[in-house]
Amino acid sequence: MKPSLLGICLLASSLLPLTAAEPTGDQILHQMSAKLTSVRSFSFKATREVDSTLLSGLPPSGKARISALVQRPLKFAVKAESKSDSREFIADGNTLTLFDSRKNFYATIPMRKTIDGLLDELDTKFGFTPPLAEFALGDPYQEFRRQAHTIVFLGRAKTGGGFLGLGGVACDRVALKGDIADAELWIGVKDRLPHKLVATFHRADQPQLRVHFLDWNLAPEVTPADFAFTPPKGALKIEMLTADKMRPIRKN
Amino acid sequence: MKTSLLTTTLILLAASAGHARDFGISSRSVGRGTVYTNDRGGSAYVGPRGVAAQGADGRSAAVVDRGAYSNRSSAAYYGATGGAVVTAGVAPLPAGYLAAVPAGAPTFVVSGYNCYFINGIYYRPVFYCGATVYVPVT
Repeated sequence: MKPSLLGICLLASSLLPLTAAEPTGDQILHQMSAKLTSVRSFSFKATREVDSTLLSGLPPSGKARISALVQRPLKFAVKAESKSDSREFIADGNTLTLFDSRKNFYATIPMRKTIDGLLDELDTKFGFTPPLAEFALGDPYQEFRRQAHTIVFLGRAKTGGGFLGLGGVACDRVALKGDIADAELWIGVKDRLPHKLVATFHRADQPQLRVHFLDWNLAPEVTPADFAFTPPKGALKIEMLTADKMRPIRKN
Repeated sequence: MKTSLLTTTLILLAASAGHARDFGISSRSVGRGTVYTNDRGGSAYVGPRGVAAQGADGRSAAVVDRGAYSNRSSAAYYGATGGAVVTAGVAPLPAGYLAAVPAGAPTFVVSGYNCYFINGIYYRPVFYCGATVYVPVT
């Protein structure tokens, strides 16, 4: 008796390996956020490049190297260095210090807040937040989700890695679409940590911002000294202008 | 989170009503954007492609797709010219500010500030949007 076509198909399908349903971009983003918030402390390094046309006449920043140490819920220390600039942002739970180590200027302001509250206040009162601060929030997912009107899983790819691509990391690529720019966040398949971020702005020249994350450590050794700031010899304490104070200066 | 912008790295530029309120500005939705008005007769439109503003004196300005590139900040304020300025990410340096001082510029203490004397004007260093800039001493 000849096997029927249907029988062959059923037999063949039964032999196929079961594959898990493809995750959605939203799920992957949620998993990344859960991974980041599952630990009290973490550190990472990153490089950040910005196309000069995005800087709107400001001096080119070139490639910046960023290192961050976070200890929830109160403390972080972030350093951003480029050829022309070196700044540190240190929150110890009581104060926030901004230190320009090239010029030897610093400012310290009272800030008895959680990291989330601190970033809110910095953003609203002073018009900035430390580099990559949103990854230190209590719930990064909510922040990303609220900002992106569309989140899509694009597929898997491997980050570049080093020589001949060695050392690359397999990642799930998640697209976040916004009104002004679209971003692509590469999240590790195994570690569920961010490894790469590319934002492309909706302009004719499509300028980009590119961030490559390196050296994630979810169990860093943390000491109080990591969040302590002692002004170096000769450092000058200067004012950190609030948004309110920007107006009177503009009039002069 | 009170503010609505992403982020250090991203993206998704939009001035928030929260920020506008910080500056005494009310807002309403128009089309895909938002119109901000203040009690001095100024108004600004923030849309998906940029912003446009008009002051009480009729002067206006528009910024298309101002780049938000390195933080999650945005600000909306009314400047001395009467024009509303809405920015996101790194705010453009306001008129009168210096991003750097020339090497060798003489320094003085003026009004208690350590200042640089440049082209007849004393400038003091401050942190502005997280970066060191120099503002005139008055």
